[in-house]
Formats: sequence, structure tokens, C-alpha cells
Amino acid sequence: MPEKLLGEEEVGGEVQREILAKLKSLHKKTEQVPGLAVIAVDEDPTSPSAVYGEEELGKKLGYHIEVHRLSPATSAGKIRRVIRRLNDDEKIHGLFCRFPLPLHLAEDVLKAIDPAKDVGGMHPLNMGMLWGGGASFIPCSALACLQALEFTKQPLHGKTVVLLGHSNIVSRPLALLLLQKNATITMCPALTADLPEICRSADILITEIGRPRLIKGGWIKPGAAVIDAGVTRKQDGALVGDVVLEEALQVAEWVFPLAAREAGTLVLTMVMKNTLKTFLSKTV
Amino acid sequence: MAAKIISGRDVAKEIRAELKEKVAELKKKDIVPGLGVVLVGEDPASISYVTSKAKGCQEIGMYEETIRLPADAPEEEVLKIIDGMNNDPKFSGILVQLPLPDHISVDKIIGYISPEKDVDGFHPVNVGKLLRGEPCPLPCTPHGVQQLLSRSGNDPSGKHVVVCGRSNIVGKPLAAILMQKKEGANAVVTVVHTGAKDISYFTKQADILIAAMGRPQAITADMVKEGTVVIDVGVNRIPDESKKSGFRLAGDVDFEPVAEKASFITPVPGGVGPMTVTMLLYNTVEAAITLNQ
Repeated sequence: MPEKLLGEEEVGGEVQREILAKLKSLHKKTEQVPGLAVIAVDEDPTSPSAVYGEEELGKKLGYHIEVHRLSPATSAGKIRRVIRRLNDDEKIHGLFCRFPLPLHLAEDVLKAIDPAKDVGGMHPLNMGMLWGGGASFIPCSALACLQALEFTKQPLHGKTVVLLGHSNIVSRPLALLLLQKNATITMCPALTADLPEICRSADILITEIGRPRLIKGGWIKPGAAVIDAGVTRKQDGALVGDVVLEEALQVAEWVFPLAAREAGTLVLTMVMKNTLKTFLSKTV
Repeated sequence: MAAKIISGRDVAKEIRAELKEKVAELKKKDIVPGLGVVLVGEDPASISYVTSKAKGCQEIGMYEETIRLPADAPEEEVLKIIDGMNNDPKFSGILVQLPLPDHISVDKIIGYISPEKDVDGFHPVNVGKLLRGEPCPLPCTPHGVQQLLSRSGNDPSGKHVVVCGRSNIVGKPLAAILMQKKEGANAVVTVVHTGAKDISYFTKQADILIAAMGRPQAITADMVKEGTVVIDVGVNRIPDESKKSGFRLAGDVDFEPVAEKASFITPVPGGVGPMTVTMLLYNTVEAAITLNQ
């Protein structure tokens, strides 16, 4: 069995090269660049230590990036004002909120974003459009999983996909997207007794359940593709996924640890990809 | 026959009695739930649905008004009527009967209904909320299926539910409802459809099997395991000269043989059918409560 460990760099790198090539081809037509505004609600907004992944990746791709750092004490009204200004700002093509957001702010933030600039794909209007396949933005984490599957070049038609978890950013949107690609989907929102058996039926297993090393090699169908979007932080600060990686590599054909390794570069690349989409529709 | 019959008529009656009480309570506070229906054209099935919706409203003491337009009515006119209903406090719910004639865009019409009054639960904002697990009007047929399960003592929590069919009005929303971490849900949900190589591989795993494919007798006895709960959403018209109407109704399930193996089963007619209108009434009453908060 030729197993293959996929890295974020590998999958994301391909997309980044596509973005760079596209922008290069536009270079002669316009001086404008894609603009992304990031809302970050931080414990300590004055701390200069954090360099955001968006800033780094944006620089690499030649984007205009603005990070708006807000304290968790910021009122909902203030956040709405900041977002409204960015909604109207022509330099800004995408507006993205870093997660996690404090619960009491999440609703206000998500719904204030103009659905046409919602590059994180979390606005209910964009989530609702996933149904019929006409969504303008796909939630970026789900898009990252799709991108990884696309990278493996395996057809999805007729495949059995098992999704462990029920988040709004991975399992729920993915379920709808994979149905459109003619896969049969099983969603396990919680731990059930026959979980190992359900997992073994999967040609594609996607987990985000947040149970460190729950999924053993024996739970995986030989030759399956496994995406591990689960992430748990251990006491020593290390990140652990849901899958016992060394065992999975013995059984699966593809293993993609999305979250627990270089946390989130691919997801950010998807935010950039979505931002490019709005940029292109506005400028070309 | 081994299976117990889950009667949609009985469950619908029970829910309508609850709604009637709720409407009476609301009237004491001067709140009258009202449903506005728009019907374009003369499709006989649509007329019969609209009539049963109007009857349902009368039965529970709600206000109802149906506006009928000819099949060639321009889209503009339908939008104008919706606009009026959106702004009229008499209406807590608005329903545009589908299908619409080809010259009218369904997406445009549904998107135009105020999400608070969208009692079909089809507006993209409400669909998004459903997927995200936020409070919203649930689409009527899948909500009816959920009620049939929980009111017959078949709580889907922890069970493996296999949904056959992935339509936007039944399969997808039903999966979205049953996978939520909520009462009457929290199930392991599989959605299977014509893209699968072997549908019976999945249906045999089902503790609860939902047939929503729109193909008569698609689910046969060899496809179900012993003791499964079977809900038949299919409504197929089979030509039958012995009937006055020229057809009889059949579900997606090969009823008699499957009933031998199942523990519970819904009949067609009299199963899911009566639930759809009932859950529409439920959504209209709930919308009246929300709008008056």
C-alpha cells in the first residue's frame, strides 16, 4: 500500500502558486491588489508579539492586509461599526474573523459582515446557499479539506465518506459539498458504540471530534484517505490530532493531518483564495 | 404483520389540538397568527395543497388569505404581493405554492420573502441557520418526520438514521435536523442516493430508515434489517383505473413485505402527508409569537 503523508505546505503551496500566477497575469491591467481585513479579538490587544499568519501569507502573495485587533471587552456596537466601515471600504475585498471568537460577540460579528465579502464563508446566507450548490463562499476549513481531497486526485463519485464531528466550519458544510459530488455521507455528531465499524466503512474518513489519538489503525479501511482536522492541546502545549498517525500511515493510502501540525496555513490559503475571487469579480 | 403503524393522521391531530390551544391563548393577547398564500396557475395538485392549508388554518382558529394569480402573471406582480404581505402585520407567515411557472424565478421569490415570515423554511438565511443549529423555522416535511419519530417513542438520539434521497426539501434538511446536538436529534446520519454503488449496503445498517427518493417500491424487504423503524416520505401516483381519480397513491416502500420485518412503519397515504401542512401551521403560530416579542 503506497501510503502518503500530505502536508499543508504541499497542498497549500499549489494553491498559492496559482494565486501568484493569476495576480502576475493581472499586473499589467490594474495597480490594485486584493485586500483582506482581519478582525482579531485578543486577550491583550497591546501585545506586539503576535505576528498573524494572515500578514505573513499576505506579504508573500502581495495582498493588502489590515489586522484590526479588538479587546474582548469591545461592545457589540463598536464591532459592528468597525465591520460596517470595512464593508464599505473599496480596498477591502474580504473580511475575515479569527477564531475562536468570544461567544457573546460571535453572532454580531458574523452577521454584520457583508455576505459578498464573507471570505470565511460563515454568514448564514452563505451557509444557506451551500444547499443548492450556488454558494459564493465555502467555509474556509471545509474548503481546505476539499482541496486536500482534490490534491489526491481520487474521484468522489460513489465514495463512502464518514464525518466525525458536527462543527459549522468542517463537517456540516462538507456533508453538503460532498453530497453534491455524489458521495454517500455518514455524519457522526457524537461518540457511538459502533464507531470503529462505521469508520471502517469509509473510503474517506474526516474527523474533527477533538479526542486525542482516538482513531486507531484498525478503524481505518485499507487504502482509505484520512483527513484529521481534530486538534487538542496537551498540557505541554503540543497539538495532538484525533488519529494515531503512525498506525494510520500503515493502513491508509493518504493521511492529511490538517489541524495539529502547521496549524492553519492551508485554511488561511483558502481565505486568500476566496479573497481573490471577490477581487477578480470587482476589478476584472 | 409485525410492524406497528405510525399514523400521521393521529399525530397531526394531536399537534393541531395543541396549536388550537396556543392560538386561543394568543388571541387573549390580541395576537392572531395569519397565513398568506400565493398560488400562481391552476395546477390541480397545488390547488388541493392550498385548499388543505386553508382548511388547517380555519381548524386551529388562524387567519388565512389565499391570493390566486393566473399562470401568466408576471414575476413583478408576485413580488409586489409578497412585498405587501412582508409589511402587513396580519400575516405572520407567507407561503408561495411551488412549483411556479417557468418564467418566474423560484430563488428570487423565496429570497424576497421576509425570513421571519418564511414558514416553509426555504429562505437561504433560514437554511443557513438550520445548518448552523440556530433557532429558525424548520422545513415542514422533515420537521414532520422528526415529530413522527419522537411522538411514536422512537427518539433518534444515538441511532443510525439512513436517509435515502438528497432533495433540498426533504433529504438535506432532514439530515441537517437530525445531526444537531438537540433533543429529538443527535443521531448518526447517513445520506444515500443514486450515486451510491449499493444502496442496500447502507439501508441494512439503519435503525431508522427514511425513504425519500420518489420511486415507488424502491425499498424492498431484503434491503431492511429486522426491527427497523421505516418512515416513507414518498408520494407516487400510480395509474389505477379502478379509482375515480384514475390513480392511487403509493410510497417509496414495498409496504406489506417491509412491514413484516420492521418494528414501526408509516403508511402512504396517512403517514408523512398529513404532517407537512400541520408543521406549516406550527411554523406560522411560532412566527406570530416571535414577531410579537
